[in-house]
Parts: sequence; C-alpha cells; structure tokens
Amino acid sequence: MFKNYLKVAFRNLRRHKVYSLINILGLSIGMACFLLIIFYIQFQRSYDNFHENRKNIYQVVRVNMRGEDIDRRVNTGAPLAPLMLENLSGIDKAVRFTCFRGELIGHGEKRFIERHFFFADESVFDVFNFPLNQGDSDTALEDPFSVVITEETAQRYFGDDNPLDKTLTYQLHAKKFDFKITGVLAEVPRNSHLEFDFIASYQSLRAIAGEWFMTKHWDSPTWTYVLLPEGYESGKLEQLLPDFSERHVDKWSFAAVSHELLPLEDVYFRSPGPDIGRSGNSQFLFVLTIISAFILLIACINFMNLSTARSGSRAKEIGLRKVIGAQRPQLVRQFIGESLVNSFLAMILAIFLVELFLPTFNNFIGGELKINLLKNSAYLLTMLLTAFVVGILAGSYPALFLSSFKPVSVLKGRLRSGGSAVLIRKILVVGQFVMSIALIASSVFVFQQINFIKNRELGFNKNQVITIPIRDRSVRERYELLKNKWLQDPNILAVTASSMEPGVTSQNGIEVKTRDADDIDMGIIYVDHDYVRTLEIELARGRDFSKDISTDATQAILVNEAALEVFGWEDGLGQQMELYFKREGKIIPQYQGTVVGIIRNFNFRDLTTPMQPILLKIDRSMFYYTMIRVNSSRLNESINSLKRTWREFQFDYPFEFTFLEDDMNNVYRNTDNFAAVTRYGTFWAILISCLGLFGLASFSVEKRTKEIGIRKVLGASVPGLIRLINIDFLRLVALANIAAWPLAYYAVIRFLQYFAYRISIQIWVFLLAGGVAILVSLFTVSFQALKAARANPVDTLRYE
Amino acid sequence: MIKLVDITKYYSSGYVKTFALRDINLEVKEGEFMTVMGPSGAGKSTLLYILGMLDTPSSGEYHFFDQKVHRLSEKQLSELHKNHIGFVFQSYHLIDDLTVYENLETPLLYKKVKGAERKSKVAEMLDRFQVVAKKDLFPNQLSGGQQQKVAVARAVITNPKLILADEPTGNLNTKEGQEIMELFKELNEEGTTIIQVTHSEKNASYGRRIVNLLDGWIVD
Ligand SMILES: Nc1ncnc2c1ncn2[C@@H]1O[C@H](COP(=O)(O)OP(=O)(O)O)[C@@H](O)[C@H]1O
Ligand SMILES: [Mg+2]
Repeated sequence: MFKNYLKVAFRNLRRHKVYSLINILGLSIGMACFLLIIFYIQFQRSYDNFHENRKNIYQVVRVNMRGEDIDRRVNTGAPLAPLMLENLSGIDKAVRFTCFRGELIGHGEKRFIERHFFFADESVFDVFNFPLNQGDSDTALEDPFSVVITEETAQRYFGDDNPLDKTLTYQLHAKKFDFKITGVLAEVPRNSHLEFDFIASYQSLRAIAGEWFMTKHWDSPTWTYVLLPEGYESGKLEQLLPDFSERHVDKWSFAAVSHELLPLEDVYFRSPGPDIGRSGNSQFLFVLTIISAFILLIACINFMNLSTARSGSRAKEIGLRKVIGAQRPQLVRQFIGESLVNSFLAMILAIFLVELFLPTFNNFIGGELKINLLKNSAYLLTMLLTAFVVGILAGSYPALFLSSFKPVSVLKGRLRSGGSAVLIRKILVVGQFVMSIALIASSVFVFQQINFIKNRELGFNKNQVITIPIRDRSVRERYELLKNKWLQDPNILAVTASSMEPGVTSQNGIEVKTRDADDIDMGIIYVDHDYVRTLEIELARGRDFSKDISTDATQAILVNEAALEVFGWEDGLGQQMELYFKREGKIIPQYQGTVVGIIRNFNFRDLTTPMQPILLKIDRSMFYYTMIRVNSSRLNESINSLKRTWREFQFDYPFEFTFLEDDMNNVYRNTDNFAAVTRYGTFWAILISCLGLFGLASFSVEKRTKEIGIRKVLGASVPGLIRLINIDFLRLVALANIAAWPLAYYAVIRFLQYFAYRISIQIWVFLLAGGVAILVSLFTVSFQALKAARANPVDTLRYE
Repeated sequence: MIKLVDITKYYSSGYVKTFALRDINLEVKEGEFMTVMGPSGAGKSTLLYILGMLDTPSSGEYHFFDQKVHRLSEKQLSELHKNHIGFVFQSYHLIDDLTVYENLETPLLYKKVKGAERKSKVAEMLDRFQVVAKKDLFPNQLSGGQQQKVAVARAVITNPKLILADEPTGNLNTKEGQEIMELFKELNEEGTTIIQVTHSEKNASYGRRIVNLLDGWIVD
C-alpha cells in the first residue's frame, strides 16, 4: 500500500510540474530560512554548554547600592576570590581571569599586540573544560610566568615548531617579563563566552601589577567564577554574600555592596558587563524565533492552500478510491504520506539552499555559524523533525478535507468547492499576509532605528577621526612630542588624547565635593588640551582648556550641562570642586579644580544609554587613546604621515589605528546583525507568500476560465476582468493589514525598549508595509489574470 | 438478495425538494441480470448508487442478504460495499496516476490481499480481459474500449456478488460496447448478479429483466 502511495505522490509531482515546483520550492525556501535561523539560535543557546561543570559554575556579580540606585558589574577585582574561598564554606573552587586587552607579546622578531591575553588561577582547568593538546593541565599554571597558548597562537609565533618550553616576552608599560610556554590548548570552542589566546599563571600578576593590585584593587579588569559542589544550592551561598561583602569588600563610596551569583548558562546573555568576552542578546533571539516560525508557517500555509485549491483535480481519484474500497483513514494516511514525501523532498532541497544561503547569512551575523549538517546530530535531528512536523502539519488539513469527499457527489460531478474550505483557505491567506506585513513593518522600523542611532546628532563629530590606542607608558610619556610632530603635517588638523574612546569604551568614575554637597558620584573623562576642538564639541559658555594658562593642566575643569543640573548650579563658571576616591571608607584626594567652561551635552556612551553628566579634566597619566582629526580629502596621506612619525619614534608597539566611526558602529554589531537577519527573513517570507499567492491565483483563474470566457463574450474588457480577479485577493490582503499592524506595533515597541533614544513610530511605515503587500500581490495575481483575460473565449468555452 | 422497500431519495436545495426516487419497491435475486432503463434525470444513477451503498436513501428500507443496509453506519456500509460490490461507470473512471496494473491491484490492496495472491489475481484479470500488453500503460494511453475493459476488470477482481454498471457502453463505439456486454454476460453466467443502466435496447437484451424508471417512479 505504502509503495502505491509513494508512486501516486511522485507521479502527481511529475504531472503537475508548476504546482509541484511552487509547492516544494516554497516549502524548501521556508525550511532553509527556518533552519538557518534555528541553527543560529541553537548555536547561541549552546554557549558554554561544553563545560562538564556547567550546572555548578557561577559568575560573581558585584552589586553596588546607593539608595535606589543599584549598579551591577562583573569586574570584581583580584582580591575577591581568595577572600571568598577563605571566608565562605560551600565553594569548591574559584577562578579569576584578568585581562588588560592589549599587551605587546613577542618572540624574537615576531611581536603582536594581543587582546586576549588572560591571567587565570590554576583552577581554571579544574573548573572549565579547556583541554590541553600538549602539556599537563594539573601543573601548567603552577609556576609564576608560565603560560599556555592556543594552537592558533602557537602557529602565529612559532609556525610549525613545537612551542613547548619556548619563551614569550610580555611587555606592559616599559616592563618586560619572560613567560615559559607550558602547554598548548586544544581549539577553544566557538561557543565559549570566554575568548582567549593565552592563559598565564595568575601569580605572575603579583610581579607585573603589584601587591596592591592583588589585594586592594577592587575595580580592575578581573572576573571571578566559582565552582559549587555538585547539588549545592547557590541560594544558600547567596544568603551569606551580603554579610561577607559588608565585612570583607571595599565599599568605595557606595552605601552597601553585595555579590550575586550568575549561573554560567546565563552569562552569555545576561551578564551585566563589562563583558569579559562574547555576549549575546536573548531578546533578539526571541524575536528571531518568532520570525523563523512565521516563515515556516507561511510556507506550510502555501502548501495547505495549494493542496486544497487543487482538490478538484484530486476529487475524482478520491471518489474512485472510495468506490473500490478505500476507507477514510486509509485516504488520510495517503495524503499525509504524500505531504511527508513533499516535505522530505523539500528538506533535501532545503539542505542545498542552506549551504547556498549560509555565506550571505553568515555575513549578516558576523560569520559565527559553521554548519556541518551531516556530522552534527543536533542539526540532523532538527532537520528530520522539521520535515516530519511540516509534513504532518501541512498535510493534515488537506488530508482531512480531501478524504471527506463523498464519492457520489464527486462522481456525479456535483462537487462544489465547499464553502468552509474556501473560507478556511481565505483565513489562511489572510494569516499569511498578516505575518508578511508585520514582518515588513517591523523590519522597516528596525532599519530606521538603527540608522537613527548611527546618524544621531551626538554632540560631537565622529567623522574623520582616527583613534590610536596608547598601550604603553613609553608612548604616553612621549605623547606631547608625538603630537607636535604629527601636527607639522597640514593634513592633520587636530590631535588630542583621553582616557576613553567616546561611544565605545566607558568613562571613569570619581567622587566630587562642591561648596554645597559632597560624595557626588560623577563620570570623568581625562583629556588633553584640544579635546573639545578635536571632537568638535560645542562650548556653551566660559572657555576651553588653554595652553597659555599654565594652571589649566592641573586645575581647570569643564563640565557639561547635564552635570550643572546634578550640582544644582545655575551658571557653574568659577565653581570650585574637590575630586577624590573613597576606598574602604577613607577619602583619597585626587584633584582640586575650578570650572572654567560649560560644554553642551554629548553622547560619550553608546546610544543604548541616555546622555549623562560628565567632567573633563586634564591628566596626562590617564591617556589611553589619542584621537586625531584629519583632512577628509587626504585620508591616505594623513594615515601614512601618522604611521611614518610613529615609526620614527621607534616605540616597541607597532602602529595601529581605527576610525572612530567604525569603532562606534561596531558597538551596534549585535543590533546590526539582528536587523540584517530580520530583513533577510522578511524578504523570504514575502517571496514565499507570493509564490503561494501565484499558485492560488492560477487555480482560481483556472476554475473561473468558463466564467471569464462568458463575461468576455458578453463584452467585458481585459482590464475589467483583471480587476474582477484581483478584487477577491485584494480584499484578503487589505484585511490582513488590519490584523498585522497591531502585531508589528507591539513587536517594535518591545524592540525599541532596548534603546535610550528611539524613533517615533510613524503611521506611514504601516501604510508602506500594507502597500508593499498589496502591490506585490497585485502583480502576482494580475500576471495570472492577464493570461486568462487575454485567452480567446472560444477556446476556453469549448472545453466544457 | 436485494430487497428495496419504499425507497425514496430527494435532494433539497433551499425550500425546493427534487425527488430522484419515489417509493421504489424492488427485489433482485442472486444471479439475475437486470437492466434499468429510462430517460435522462429519471433517477437511474441514483438508484444504482443507493444499491451500491455509495449513497443513502432519504427514507425506506434496503435489505442486502440478511443485512438491513439502511441501519448501518457509514463505516459498516463501506465495509459491505468493498466486499460485495463492483462498480462500472459510463466514463471509465480509472485512477489517472496509476498504470493499468496498479489500477487493478488497488482494490486488492484495500482488501489487504497478500502479495503473491494479489499478483496472480491481477495476472488472471489481465489475461482474461486481454490487456496483458497494456499493463504498464497509464489510462490516458488507452482507447475508451480498453479503459472500460480495465474498469470492468477492476470491478470484478475482488469477486463481488453484485456488479453495478451505469451506462457502461455510453461512451463506446458499437464494437467496443458489444465486447463489454459479452463480458457481462460471461460473468453473469458464472453467477455474478448484474444490474446495468442503459439506453440501448440491444444492450438491454443481454439481460433477462427490465425495470423502467420515469421521474423517480418505477413504471412497468
Ligand atoms: N446531488 C444532487 N443534488 C441535487 N439534485 C440531484 C443530485 N443528484 C441527482 N439529482 C437530481 O436527481 C434526479 C435524478 O438524477 P440521476 O439519478 O442522476 O438521473 P439519471 O441517472 O437517470 O439521468 C435529477 O433530477 C437530478 O437533477
Ligand atoms: Mg445517470
């Protein structure tokens, strides 16, 4: 019997080529998009799942509290882990990671600036699963100045030589340290939120960063993870943390400090930052899941609609089969079977499409996805399951519908396409267009928002600014000379330096005491003269820092307008302030200064954060970036000139540069990817919908051939006929708009919550989405209608 | 074998009832060869479908051997139908996507006949109806007469007690029609009960009894 079904299924495919092509192609495109997105989601969800202890590993989060303000951060400082191990029971192991992001590592002539050089406690290999290909993970990080590196890194420094026991020189500021390579790491899985090329023994840091760093520095780029015993409730430990933190942890100026534990499986999506490595956005994944489900559903609906629309031509077969002894369950099975055949054929095609789409898709998502469909059992299972579910889902309605035909009515030729079938088909078409229109509108909004963010008036000019990191004290000390030399080239318009790269990295924090209040928490950017001028920040009142006033270098302060509000000043000029840190309750004075100028607010953080108050103060020791405004028409010459001069200075560090604008756009990479995937999904969803509509229209036209012929004989014009055929479909699409708009509205509101600065939701986007849908369906249907309307009525009528 | 008591069949569309059959009382004995005649729209096909259990009467009783057909559920009906009745239509009504061989095989598949037996049955039919050479062709590759032969073969292959034929020669030329009628005659001589609808006096002469229908009434 089954063979019989298969035969009929295949012969049906062959006999109705256009129909089958539409059906299977639509389904396979839908499946391919669905699979790509699902694989991407699966990949994202798989972060850190390769650690055996994943259920018992936690990232430690520091919680700073001041009144209502609660600030969570995961750079805990080096002192935390030993204190936790000493004072809290119920912790098996703790690991610290410290990473300065940009040390100069060398071997002989080969020198690279490394962004992923981690220091970690020995326990790292007990807690996490990072196996070594060479070396012994029990002892590799035992001695100070031992380091393990990844295969890839080894290749970079040593080529094909065995790196074991070789030496790498580590350079931070002017100090150099030799590390011995004690192990080579197996490839670190791509779905690890920890991303490193080197892991060096933590004890090395005592020599490199000093005792203070190890025991007193609570704000260093150090992340802490703990391993709890199997089955131990993290809640029990968390109860002890407030008391522990109160007793042992430096509060700075906060009212209270505590710690929380973030399960490893949540770190990738929910870690409050600053991120140690990769991070993701689960909100986006949620939206992507919906998009992928939409696409698949749209494809399934096509399938159902085309099958039932075609029921007329299957009716005879069904009636006959019943006459010669088929019973309903057998027919249901036959049609589900056929649907499964189609679905699996579509899946096979989809596999090729996935391969075909993957490069483009990877472009959108930043090249994360590597798909080896046949080797990865999870992917394979997903595919089989998808094909199966789609087959059943898409086949069930046609199966039930078709198998219900009464043989007599079919054979007597009295089968009218039942009212309910037509109604259901209409509902399905509406549903399809609801999804498509919602997708169009949402993707336009997402696109608008991202453009809005990127082109927003920032309060400074990010264009034509080149950023060069200052990674080393030796560079910092000669910055002034470098600057002057650079400025000799007329293409280099302005040079400044600061502690942060605006829109990319974060500001420092400091406590402020004014005449009226103390312990005011403020953001501060340490800058060079010319900062305001280089970035083209607008000065509201007062004056900029000036080279001619010698006290400016130590005492002058600029504040923005938002800061004025915080201080409660009307004018602000001439106000005195004391700047200090608070450590372990003690005040550590830093600067005294006078406000000499008020600048307009500018977005020194990315635009998911609102405008904040800020102080600008000159401090040469805090320069980490130099920013250079260059002549836009002489970009290449400018860069060459910067490079030449850099080389002349013979720094240990090689010349490197980025464009400020690129760096800032990189911050929105996740959002960009998301938007791209949304657009991609939308495109295919519309295409699949149209494919379905095309098929439906062709059947509708076929069924109405006679009517069209008669109308034409009676004198109907071709445009009139096209209108007649279109009007049915247009009504449906128009109806779909009404349902789609609220859906899109809701989705967009949710998406926009992620941003501090949002576009306003404009009606025309909805109208546009509806218009696009109507236009596209008009084209599709008219194509079919035209064919029928132009046919000679004598030919069409003779059929009957 | 068959007893119809006061069978009425009407179709209602809106407030209007169209009667296809009115108070039909009819008895058919096993082994009979009966012809139903009458003008178009008289209710001949309706009668045949009801006899074939593909349609249900609006009122009246239908006894098939000892079964009260009018009391049976749809499932039981189709069970009874599939085991005892073969149907032949005016337009040959084969499954377009199946070859001659497969068309013949399908009723046996629905009856869950095992592979070897199935093969020999199909072979036997192909042989008897002289379509062996055509067995791998699709219906649209055959002439009308050949298609109708296959359709008769398919109706017969399950050894039904009753064969219902609705204008089986209506679309055939004289020679083809004659061949089909000869086949029916042969089958009837072997013991199969046959009820046919025809407009042709000549075809009617193959049978031994004629029932005339007019506007849903039996008129004799
Ligand atoms: N499904 C139906 N709905 C409405 N009327 C029907 C239906 N089937 C048959 N009829 C009507 O019943 C009458 C008998 O039809 P039928 O049995 O097909 O006649 P015959 O086969 O003798 O030509 C006709 O008037 C026909 O129009
Ligand atoms: Mg008839």
